[in-house]
Amino acid sequence: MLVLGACENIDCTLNNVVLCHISFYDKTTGEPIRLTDTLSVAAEGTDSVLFNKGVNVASLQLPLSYWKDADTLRFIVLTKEGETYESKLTIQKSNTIHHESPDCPMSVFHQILSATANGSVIDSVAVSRREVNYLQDENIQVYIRTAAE
Amino acid sequence: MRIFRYISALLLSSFLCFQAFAQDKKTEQAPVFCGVAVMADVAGPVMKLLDTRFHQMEVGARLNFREHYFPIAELGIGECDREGEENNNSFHVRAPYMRLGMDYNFNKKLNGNRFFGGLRYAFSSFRYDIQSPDFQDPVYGGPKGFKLDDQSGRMQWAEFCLGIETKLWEFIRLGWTIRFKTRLHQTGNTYGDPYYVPGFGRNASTAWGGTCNLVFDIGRKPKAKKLTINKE
Repeated sequence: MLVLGACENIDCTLNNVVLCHISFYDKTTGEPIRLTDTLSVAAEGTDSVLFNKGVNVASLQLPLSYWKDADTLRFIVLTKEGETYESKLTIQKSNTIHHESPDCPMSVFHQILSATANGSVIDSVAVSRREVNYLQDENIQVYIRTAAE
Repeated sequence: MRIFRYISALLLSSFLCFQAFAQDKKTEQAPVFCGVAVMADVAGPVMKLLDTRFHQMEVGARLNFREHYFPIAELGIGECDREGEENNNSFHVRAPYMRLGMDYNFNKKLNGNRFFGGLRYAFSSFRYDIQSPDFQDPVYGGPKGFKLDDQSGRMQWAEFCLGIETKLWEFIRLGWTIRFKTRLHQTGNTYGDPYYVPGFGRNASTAWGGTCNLVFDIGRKPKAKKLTINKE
């Protein structure tokens, strides 16, 4: 029994990062797309850039705030012609601390209550999975306006 | 040195039991009710002295029917006061647990030694504290650290036991059991499963455990009735 007690090891979940998984879709066809322009995402109310100047982006994994009830993410698109377009994605959510072991890092899981968007980049959004936790599955579908619009 | 003595006692008790099995083969029968025994797990205090990550103090009482059937009740207190190896997170619980079940003695001889197989139903209802003083949102900032006191937890589990026991002197016995524990039901907690469950051990669907019991027989001593078979 002493041996059993002495054999305890640190056993934390390997994938212990909580991120909100966002995928992009074409507004007209409903098909998944890649953004050919340069995309940056910033968290409103902070000086943090969550995603910086990505090209050919099909999906994103972004952290949500631990304690706030709503996060607003600024999606800034820079076209090849040098024009800038912007949309704001607001995610209403609840937050729950998640504890596994004193040896493991603490996390905060989220439950998405609603998601809305405005601006010239995003046409609409849909929540595909409300639970934001260790799973890597898509949480939010973002429908992008076409260039003609 | 203390560990060495402890392990020696275990090995000695095992040896005495197996030696006894190899002795005479006369058929013996014990009376229906052979008395009561109380016991205490001596491994718990040793683990507490060694400052292991968690430990439990346990006592029990059992009845003895025909030297084969041993209905048993065990009551203990499990404790875990743990701080993370690489952070300041902490978990604290100190709560009782109870087990009810039965052992069966496979030894057919009344030679003072017993070889047990057993089953237990166990449960614990407890409250625990979690603390993480350094926890902070790296992007959005906000308050640093949190403390969640008096979180409620409940678990029921089953234990499959194997054990041996031998007589040390008159009414004093020493024995040990090894136990495989499997979770039956757990009441979910909003903030994740508790790290440790009193009596069960580290929280998982299954766990291993054991006891080293000092047993005191009280009441009647089983007097063997030898059944002689007339071959004429």
